[in-house]
Amino acid sequence: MFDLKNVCFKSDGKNPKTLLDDITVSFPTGSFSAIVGHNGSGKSTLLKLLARKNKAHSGSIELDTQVLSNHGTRDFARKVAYLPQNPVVPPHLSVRELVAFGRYPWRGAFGRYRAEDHAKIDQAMEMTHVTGFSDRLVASLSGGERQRVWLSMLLAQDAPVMLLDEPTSALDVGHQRDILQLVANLKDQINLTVIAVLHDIDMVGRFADHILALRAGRTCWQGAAQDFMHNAVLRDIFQTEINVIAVPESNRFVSYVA
Amino acid sequence: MIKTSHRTPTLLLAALGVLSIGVLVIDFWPFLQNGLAGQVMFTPDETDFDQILFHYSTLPRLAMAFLCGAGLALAGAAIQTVLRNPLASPTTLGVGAGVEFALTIFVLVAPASLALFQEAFALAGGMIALGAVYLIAAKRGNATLWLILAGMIINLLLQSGTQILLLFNEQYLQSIFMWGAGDLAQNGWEATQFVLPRIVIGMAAVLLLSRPLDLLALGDDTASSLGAKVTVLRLLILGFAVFITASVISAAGMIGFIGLAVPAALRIAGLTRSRDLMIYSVLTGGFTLLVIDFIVRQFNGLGGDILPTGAATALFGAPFIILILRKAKIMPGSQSEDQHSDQEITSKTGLSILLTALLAIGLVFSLFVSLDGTGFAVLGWTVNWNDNSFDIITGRAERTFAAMICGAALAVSGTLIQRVGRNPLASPEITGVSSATALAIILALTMFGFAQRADLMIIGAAGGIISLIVLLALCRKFTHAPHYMLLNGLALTAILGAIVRIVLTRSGTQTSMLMSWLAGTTYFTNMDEVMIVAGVTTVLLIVAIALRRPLEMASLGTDQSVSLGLGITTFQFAMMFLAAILAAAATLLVGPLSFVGLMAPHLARVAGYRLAGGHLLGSVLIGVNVMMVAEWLARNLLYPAQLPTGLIAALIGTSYFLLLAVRKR
Repeated sequence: MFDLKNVCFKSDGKNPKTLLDDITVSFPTGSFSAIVGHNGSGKSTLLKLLARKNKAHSGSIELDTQVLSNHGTRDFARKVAYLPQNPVVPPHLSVRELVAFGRYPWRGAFGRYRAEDHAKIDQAMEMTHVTGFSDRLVASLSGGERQRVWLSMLLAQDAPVMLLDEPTSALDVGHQRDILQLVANLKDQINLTVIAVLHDIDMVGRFADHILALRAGRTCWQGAAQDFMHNAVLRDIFQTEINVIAVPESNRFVSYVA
Repeated sequence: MIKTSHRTPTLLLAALGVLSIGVLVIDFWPFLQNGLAGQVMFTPDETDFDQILFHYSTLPRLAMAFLCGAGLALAGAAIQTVLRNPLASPTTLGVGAGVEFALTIFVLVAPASLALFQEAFALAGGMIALGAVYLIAAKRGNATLWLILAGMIINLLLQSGTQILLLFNEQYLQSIFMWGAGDLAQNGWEATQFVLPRIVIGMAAVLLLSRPLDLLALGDDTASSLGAKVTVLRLLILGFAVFITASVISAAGMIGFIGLAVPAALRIAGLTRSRDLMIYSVLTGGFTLLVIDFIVRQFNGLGGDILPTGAATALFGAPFIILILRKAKIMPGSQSEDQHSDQEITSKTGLSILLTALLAIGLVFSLFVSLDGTGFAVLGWTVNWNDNSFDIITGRAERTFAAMICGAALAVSGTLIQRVGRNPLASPEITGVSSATALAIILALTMFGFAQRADLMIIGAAGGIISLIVLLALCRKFTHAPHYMLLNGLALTAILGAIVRIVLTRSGTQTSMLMSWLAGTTYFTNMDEVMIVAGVTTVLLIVAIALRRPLEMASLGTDQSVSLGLGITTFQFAMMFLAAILAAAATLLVGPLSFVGLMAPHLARVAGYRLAGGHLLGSVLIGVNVMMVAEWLARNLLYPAQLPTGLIAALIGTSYFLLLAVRKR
């Protein structure tokens, strides 16, 4: 889906810092890709490049074999849904009104919302368990509830690609699992492509199909999930003493800090 | 680090010092050549005109410039340190406007026997204004921003008050106006003798208190745990700062921005200790005003016209603020999320119907009922219905309608700016759009002789749009931080206001008419214009309501709107464009100062109109109601004298914000 070749990105200003250096990666269609790395490794920067929030870069990024910048704004919004790390919370909107914005790319400024749009909105809210507070103001919800509302909006957007920047950072363990499971299911049901920045190594090992690890702006490791959960790989990525143990009677692994 | 950081301010000071010496040398040159410098300074030859002119005009002017500059810069430095706010100053916090208002009242109203108390009166005016500003801003999340906004509101309130007083005392207009624009011209040593001891006392006091000032910079809790009596100290220092400001203003009028720009620049240049900051401020401020005044004097020679130094200082100072805002990350984007209260979502149909009903009743009341000095007079019942009363009704209808249309136009304009700028405190009045419109119209009228109102409207709209584009260009890097827009808007408004003042001092016979237009009278309108503005407003309101969905989405911020497929930059620009046209149209009818564009959208939001479409309609209803009431009051409050509607609306608006501020505490 997304193909990056020799992508570099520098910060603005008089002394530009190289934030991403020579990234070449191909995110497979219909699978769950995770971007991991230490703080400041360039994970969010990379995701913003994919979402077209960061523009200036060298190298090439292609979406559906078309150069990224060639997509029109509406067109791009129909293909790619993006959830930033700290989305602006409008103080006056109710949950349902916010989720309904997910239909904007399809209906625009003047198009009427039809029955199918409302069905999509309801379904999205159902899937993220936010139907219960559909008439409350988003600003009055807790951090975790808000995160689910944003995800709900992204689902209503109905785009084949979803870019998530730490989508589970404010969620309790149960909801973390629910959300990641939901995204994983969708990828099977409707062939959704998910690219997410994630922090929790165990969740990555549990749900991701393809993993890209960054260190100081460079690709440090990439591969499949079953190759990820190994002492040597994790220690190299995070430069920390991490051990991995196998969970008995399953083919899962759990990490712990030594 | 601390050692090296003193180099820049020292260099700055040295450069200004050299410039000032240059100024002195140029001024003294004719006498230095003959070796008469000493003589002309102390014992001028009473038969030589040049010597007399120099001794009694130029020399005291130099002294005054230095003293006023030094005093204001020190006052600014003290206020900035005490309030821990890099943008505080005697002008931005309303002290200047308070002193000016108090002095204007005193000059016009007080009997001569009370002249002794003039200073106390001015001091009280300044302190009350500062107190009010502090009251509004205290205990708010983003205190820095609120302080400046509160200052802006109080400034506008007091200035409208001063203008009302002036409108009723036209014989003093020109002279008070000159003084209000900050005039350093001297014809003797009295003013210097008046200012010198006061400023010296004030400076000595502030400098003595400067060590505890460093403690204040640590924050209230830390300071009091270190044994400083925070409240007393703060009051003392603020009191002396206001005292210095009041003395300067009494002697020389409003000289803006020295008190803001000089200490702010020194702080950015690396001075952080308050004692150093103050000592440097005294010298730098003095030299700066000396140099600026010298430049201004050169222009005065040309046309024989007088360019007031105070207004010129604003011209120099305000761009500087914009520069500071760009250079310094003054405020971290600590948008405190204080909106956690679970507002109830209710339908606003009932309220809208109520407002519409009020409007209808009020309209009838406003047309038929008036005060005639003794009490209510009801037209049509007491007077026989004849052609005469029909004329009265159409006359009233015209003005009422004009006011209402302006209310609607400003309400829509304000709603658009607030929504697209994602800033609940933005408005055409505060972002400089209104002042730019006014300036464009005044310039076209006085300098280029345009008299057709239709031409003026187009020129005004162009001015408003240009200023909006400038503002957006200045803020494009800070789209995420709405307060940058406000502060840049404030600086723009100050620049434009200064130019307006300068133009007004030169416009001679038209001053009175322009003043009452600036104050927002609906007296000069005619029905055709009102209909044009009404048409424009209706069309643009419909356009805005049709665009309510993207308008709503703009509240999600740039990134997310683009993610959802809205080309936000173009959209924002288009909306701002609409807002500017509306503001310009309204400004032509009631002048730039009405506050409806700030108040109506705000009130509508507080009343619970959440979504863009409802918000637009709600604020239109509120704006129209407010302007109708203001217009009735303006016609009847001091019958048969007529007050300007814009000023009354501004008074209503600022009182509302004061109430809001006091209640929220």
